[in-house]
Amino acid sequence: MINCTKHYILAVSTTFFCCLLYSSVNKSESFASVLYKLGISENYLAKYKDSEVKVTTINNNGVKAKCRLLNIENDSEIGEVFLLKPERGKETIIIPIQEKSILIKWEKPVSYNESIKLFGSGQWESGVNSLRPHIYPLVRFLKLARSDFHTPVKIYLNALLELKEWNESLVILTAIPHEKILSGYVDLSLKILEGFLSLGKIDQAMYLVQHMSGIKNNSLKMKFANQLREYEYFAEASSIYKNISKKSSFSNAKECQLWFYLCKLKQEITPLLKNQIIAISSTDQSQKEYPLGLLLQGQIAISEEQYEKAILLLSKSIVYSNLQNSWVPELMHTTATVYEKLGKKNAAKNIYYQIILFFKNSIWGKRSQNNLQKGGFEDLQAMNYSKFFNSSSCIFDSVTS
Amino acid sequence: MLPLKLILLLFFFSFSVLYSQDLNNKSDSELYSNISKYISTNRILDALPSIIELVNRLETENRDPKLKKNLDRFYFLGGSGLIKRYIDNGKQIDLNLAQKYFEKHLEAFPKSKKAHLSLKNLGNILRSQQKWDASSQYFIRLYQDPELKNRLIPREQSLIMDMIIENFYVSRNWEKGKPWFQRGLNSTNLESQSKAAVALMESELVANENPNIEEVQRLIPYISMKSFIRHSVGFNYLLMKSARKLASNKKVSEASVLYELVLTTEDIIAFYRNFNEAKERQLTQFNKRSYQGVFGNAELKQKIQFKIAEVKLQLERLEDPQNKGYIASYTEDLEWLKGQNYALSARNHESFWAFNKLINQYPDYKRIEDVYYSAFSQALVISLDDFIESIGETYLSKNSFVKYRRVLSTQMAQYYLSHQNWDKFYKIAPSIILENSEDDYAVQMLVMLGESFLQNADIIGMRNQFKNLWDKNKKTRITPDCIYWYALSYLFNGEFGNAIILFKKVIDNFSESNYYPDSQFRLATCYYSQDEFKTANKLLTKFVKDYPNSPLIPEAETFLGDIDAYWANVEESLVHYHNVEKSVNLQENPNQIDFVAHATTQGATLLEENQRIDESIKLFEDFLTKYPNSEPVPQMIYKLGLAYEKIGRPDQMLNAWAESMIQHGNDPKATGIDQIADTFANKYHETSQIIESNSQLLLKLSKDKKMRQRIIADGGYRYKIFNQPYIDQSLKDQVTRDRNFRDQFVEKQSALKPYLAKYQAIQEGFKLESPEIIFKKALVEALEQNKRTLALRLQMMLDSIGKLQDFDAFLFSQEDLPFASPASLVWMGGKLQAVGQSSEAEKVFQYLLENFKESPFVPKALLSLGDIEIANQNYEKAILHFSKIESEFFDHESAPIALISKIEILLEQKDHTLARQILKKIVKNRQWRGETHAKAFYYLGETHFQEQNYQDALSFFERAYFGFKKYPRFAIVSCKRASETLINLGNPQKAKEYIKELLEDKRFSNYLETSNDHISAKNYHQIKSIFTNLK
Repeated sequence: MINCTKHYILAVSTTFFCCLLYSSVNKSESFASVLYKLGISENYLAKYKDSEVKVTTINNNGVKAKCRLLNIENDSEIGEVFLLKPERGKETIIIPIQEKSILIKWEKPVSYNESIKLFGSGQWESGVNSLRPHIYPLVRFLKLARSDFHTPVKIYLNALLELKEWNESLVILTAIPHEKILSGYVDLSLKILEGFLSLGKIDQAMYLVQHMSGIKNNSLKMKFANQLREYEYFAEASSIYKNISKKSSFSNAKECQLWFYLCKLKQEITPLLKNQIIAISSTDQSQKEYPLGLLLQGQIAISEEQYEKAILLLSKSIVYSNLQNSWVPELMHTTATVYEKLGKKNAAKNIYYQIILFFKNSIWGKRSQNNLQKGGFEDLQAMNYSKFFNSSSCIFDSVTS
Repeated sequence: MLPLKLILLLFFFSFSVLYSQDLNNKSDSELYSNISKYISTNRILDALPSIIELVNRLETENRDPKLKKNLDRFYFLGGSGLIKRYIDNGKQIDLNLAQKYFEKHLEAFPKSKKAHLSLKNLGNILRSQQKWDASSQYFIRLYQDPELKNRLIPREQSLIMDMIIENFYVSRNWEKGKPWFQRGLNSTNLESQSKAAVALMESELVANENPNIEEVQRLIPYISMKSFIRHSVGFNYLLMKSARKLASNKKVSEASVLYELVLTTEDIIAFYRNFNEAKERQLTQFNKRSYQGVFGNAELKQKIQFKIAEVKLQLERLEDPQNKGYIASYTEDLEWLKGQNYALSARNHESFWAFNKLINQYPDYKRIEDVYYSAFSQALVISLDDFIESIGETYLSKNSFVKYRRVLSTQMAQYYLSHQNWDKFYKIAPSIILENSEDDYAVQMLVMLGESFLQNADIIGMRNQFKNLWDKNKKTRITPDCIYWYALSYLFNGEFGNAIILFKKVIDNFSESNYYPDSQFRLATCYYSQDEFKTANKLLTKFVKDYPNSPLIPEAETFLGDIDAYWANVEESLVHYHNVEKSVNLQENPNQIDFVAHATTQGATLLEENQRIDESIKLFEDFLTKYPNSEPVPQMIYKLGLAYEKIGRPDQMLNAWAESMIQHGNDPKATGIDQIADTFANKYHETSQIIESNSQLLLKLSKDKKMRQRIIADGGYRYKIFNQPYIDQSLKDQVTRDRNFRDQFVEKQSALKPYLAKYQAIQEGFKLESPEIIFKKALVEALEQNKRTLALRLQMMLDSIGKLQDFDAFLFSQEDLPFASPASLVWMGGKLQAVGQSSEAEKVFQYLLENFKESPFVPKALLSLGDIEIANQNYEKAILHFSKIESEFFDHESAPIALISKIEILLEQKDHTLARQILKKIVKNRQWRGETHAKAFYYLGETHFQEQNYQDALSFFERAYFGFKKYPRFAIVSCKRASETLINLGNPQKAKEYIKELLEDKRFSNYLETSNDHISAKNYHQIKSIFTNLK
C-alpha cells in the first residue's frame, strides 16, 4: 500500500520523475464478484491485489532504474496512472499508464526460469503453481503502455490452457486491456471460448464474448460468432453477426450477413426466411461469398429432405471455395453427411478424411472422426477407382500419362 | 532469391559499426592512428586502405607474433569494410577479399570475440554466391559450437537455423538437410516452421518414387497459410505434380489431399500483392508516427522496406516469362486434374462442377474438348438433365470437336431415348447409324431405334424407318440388322407372310450376322402365329438345339411346350415347360421369372386338365419354395388355391389366400391379390355351405338306413337329395353309378367313412373367421401401419360384401392413387361414379390406364370411361374407349358389354349398317352365347325396325324372345317389339298369341317380383296394354 507522499510525473523523456497527488478506485473488486457468479472459485486477482512487482525502467536515452510497481489508480485529472517506487528513493512516482517513453522491464524471479523448465518437460500443473504468485501481480499492470509483462502472462495462459483451466484463463484474459488483446491474445481468447463451449458452459462463454464486445475489431467478433455457431449457439451467434454485418466498412460484412441467415435457418425455417436467403445469395460466381450462399441454399434443401438438390448446391460450393474460406469445414462436413444420406459412402469418407486432415482440431474434425467411427464405410483405398476406369472410356487415360 | 547486394546489405545492416579511408607508404603506427581516427568517426571505408595495408604487413613472416595478434581485429574490420565497399561499388574483388579475410580470421583466431560474426559473414557471402552447401558449413559450425552460438541472442540463433534450412532446401540437398528440417519443425517462428515442413515435404515427394504420404500429411499442419514458402510457385507446382503421380498410382484419396493444398498462380500473386499493399500501408503509418525517436523503429522501417523490395522482385519473376525458372499459370491444368480426381474419388458432383467451371472460365484451355466430354460424362453419371443436353449439344455443334463425337452422340441418343424425347432421338439415331454404318455404334443404335418404336407401339414408323435404312445400307455391315427390324414390324403387326419373307432373307443371305439366330426364332414364331405348328415345332426344335445358350431359349421352350400341349403330348409339353426354368438366367435377366411363371401355370393347367391335380399343386408349391420373393408369387398362390379347391380342400385355398392377402396385399402390382380379393368372400361363403350341406347330409345318411335304402331305390328321391347345391359330386356319382358302392352304401355305414373323414378334415382346416371380421381386423391393422394399398383393397373387399358402411374407414382421396392396385382403382372409380363425381372417376380410370397398361383391369376401366362419356353425351369419345376394348381385349369379359354399348350409341346415331356389322360379329362368336347373343339379336331387330324393315326385324325379335327366355330382360323387350312389329305387319292375332304366352309364363312375373328391373317392369306393363288394346 502507498503510505508515503504521492507524486505525479507529467510524462517527459528527460526528467521523468515529477510528482502529483493521486487518488483512484480499484475496479477489480466488482469484477471479481462477477466471476464468482459465473462459478469461478478462487479469485487470484483479489488474492494478489497488493503484491508489488520488481521492475527496471528504461527511458529513451537508455537510462535504467530499478523500481517497484505499487499499484494502478485513477487520477481525477489525468486518468489512470501507475505508481512506481524507485529502489533508491523515497518518493512514489505517478506516471500515466499511456506513457510510451518508458519501457518497464520485469525483474524475473529465479523461480520463473524453473517454471519455464517445468512447462518444457510437460509438468504444467507444477509450473502453474510455481508461477502463479508472480503472474497475478503482473496481470494488474498489463495496462501499461510499454512493458515486457505480456510474454510471461501469455506463457502462463498457455499453460493454463494445457491444463484446461478455462475459468482461471478467463479471469486473466478479462483483466487484459482491449487494445492489448488484439496484439497477441486473439488466439488464446478463441481457445478459451472454445474450451467453455466444448463443456457447454455458455454463461462463461458469453461473459467472455460480452467482455470482448467492447473491442473495436470486427474480425475478432466474427471469429467469436463463428465459434458460437459451430457449437450450435445460433441465437447468440446471430446477434453478433447481425451487428457486424451492418458495418459497411467491414470487408466480411456480406459473409456475416449470410452467416446470420444461416443461424436463423438453424433456429427456425420459415418461407419468408427461405426467400430472404435466396434473395441475398449472390449469383455472381466471382463474388467471394458466392459459395457460402450455395451452402445456405443447400441447407434449405436439406431441411426439405431434398438431398439430390442439396448435393448439387453443396458440391458446387466446394468447387468454388478454397481451403482458406471460413465456411469450408462446415461445407465439407455438410456435404459428406448428404453424401451419406444418398448412400454414397465412398464420397462421404473421402471428404471426412480430408476434414480430419485439414481441420483436425476443429469441431468439424471431431464430428468427422465420429462419423467415420460410426462405420459403414468400405476401404477407401479400394474405392471405385477401377470401376470408374472401366466405365469411363479413354478420357481419363491422361491421368496416367 | 534476393540479389546479392540486397542480401549483404541486409546482414551488413546488423553490424552498423563500420567506418572508411585510403593510404600508402606510411609507418605502422601511422596506419594504426589512421584506423583509430576513422573508426571512431564511423568512417570504415576511409579506414579500409590502412587496414588492408596493415594486414599485408602483419601477415609477413618476420613480424613479431605479438603484433600478429592484432590481425584478429583487422581481419574482421577489413572483411567488414570490404563488404561495405562491395555494396557501394559492386566490385567482386572486394567480396572475394572479404571472404579471404574472414576465412583467415577464423583459421588464426577460431575462438575470437568476433569469430561468430565472421562465421555468419562467411555464410552469407557464400550464400550470396549461391554456394549453398559451403555456406551451410559455416552456419552449422556456428550453430554447433555452443560457445559461439551463445554469443547470439535467440532470435539470431533462429535466423542461423533458417539459413541452414534454406540453403539445404535451395540446393535440394535432402540427405544432409533432413535433420535440420526436422529440427526446424519445432521453431516458434511460423515462417521457419513452414520452411522446414515444406523442405521435408519436398524431400519426401521429390526424392522418393513412392513417397510416404502419411509423412507428407503429417507435415501439413506445420505449413502456415501466412508463410511465404507456402506461396512458392515451385512448391505448389510440385504438389500438383505429386498429386497427379499419386492419382496415377491409384492413390486418389491421397492425391485429393495434395490437390486441395495446391495454390494457383493467381492465388500466389494475390497473396504477394496483398502482402505488399499491407506493408505499404504499414510504412505510411510508420512515417506518420510521432514517436519515431523510439529506439529500434528505424531498423524496423528498414526491414519493411527490404521486405517490400523482396516481394516486388518475386512478383516480377512470377509474371515475367523470360525469367529463369518461370512457371506459367497451371490453374487450368489444376482444375482439370482436380475434376478428374473428384471423379475417381466417387465425388461425381464436384467433378462435374469442376469441369463445368473450366468450360465457363477457360474456354480456350488446350484440353477443352476433353473437358467438355468429361463434364458431359459426369452430368450423365449424376443425371443432370439440363447440363447433359446443353453440354452434349454444344459439343456436337462444335465442328472442331471430333475425338468423342461418336461416343457422345451415342450417349446423347441413349439419353433422349431414356427421357422419351422422341423428336431428338429420331433425329439423332438414324444419322448416327448412317454415319457409322460399318461399326458397333450403328449396331447399338439400331437396336435402340428398334426398341423405341416398339415401346411407342409405332409399328408403321418402325417399318418406314427401317425400310429407309435398308435402302441406304444395301451392302453394309448393318444390312441384315435393318432387314431384321423391318421384318419385326410385320411380325408385330400380324402380317406374318411378309415377316416370313424378310426373316428368310436374313437366314438365306447373312449367316454370319448376329441376327441370324434371332431370325430363325422369329420365323418359327411367325409360323406358330399362323397355326402352322408343325413347321414352328421343327424350327424351334432346331433353334433350341443349335443355340442352347441363346437368351431366347426360355421363350422357344415355352412355344414348344404350348405346341405339345395343343397336340395333347402331355409329357413332352411338361418337359419343355420344365426346360424353360432350366434355361433362364435370373441373375442377368430377372424379368425371365415371367417365363418360369408362365411355364408353371401352363404346366399346372395341363396337369389339371388331365386330372393330375396333385402334381399341379406340386408345381405351384415348388415355384413358391424356389422363388418366394418374386413378383408372380401372389398370382401363383391364387392359382394354387384354385388347385386346392379342385382336390376338395377349399379350406386350404382360403387359408393360403388369406395369408397371401396380408403378406402381399400392400403391393399395388400384385395382380394375384386383386384376383383373390375379387373372389375371396364368395369362396368363403361357398366353403361354409359345402361344409354345412355335406356334413348334415352325411350325418343323416350315416344314421338313417331307411333313407339310404330309399335313395338307392327311388331315383326321384335321389335326384331331390343330391340335386341340392354344394352336395359332393363324387358322392353323388358313386351313389348313382358305382354298383359296389351302392351295395355297401345301403348296408354299411362305413361306406360313408371316407366322405365323413374328408369333411371333418375340411372343417378342421376351416378356422378362418368370417370375411367381414378378417377384412375389418386387417383394415384396422393396415391403417395403423400405414399400409395404404392393403387398406384400399380391404375397403374394396368390405364393400363387395356390403359391410363397408359399418366401418368407420378412411375411404380414399386423390393422394391414394399411387398406392392403389388396378382392382382398387376400378373400385374407386366406380364409387366416385356412383356418387356422381364423374370427372374425379375419370381421373382415377385414366390413372389406371397410364400406370397399369398390362393389367387385366384395363378393359373394366375403359368400359367405365365409355359409360362416363355416354353420360356426358360425348359419344365419339365413348366409342373410342369401347373400340379399344374391341381391338385389344376381345377375349375379355368386358368385350361384349363394350360392343353392346357401342351398338347402343350407333343406334342412337342411326348408323344401322355399322351396328349390324358389329352385331353379326357378336352372334358369330360362340364364346358369347347366352345373354350377349340375346342382346345382339334384339338389337339386330331394332336396326331393322328403325328402318321399317319389319319382316327382318321380326325374325330377330322372335329369336331373341323364344331363344333366350333365360334372360328375362331381353326376352320381355323382344316380345314387346315382336308384337309391335307384327301389328305393323298386320298380324295382330299372332302378336296376341306371343303376348299371352309371355304373360302366362311365371318366370317373367317372378323375375319382375324379385328384381328391381324397372325397365323390364315398364315394358311388361306396356305389353299388357297392347294386349288389352288388341282384345
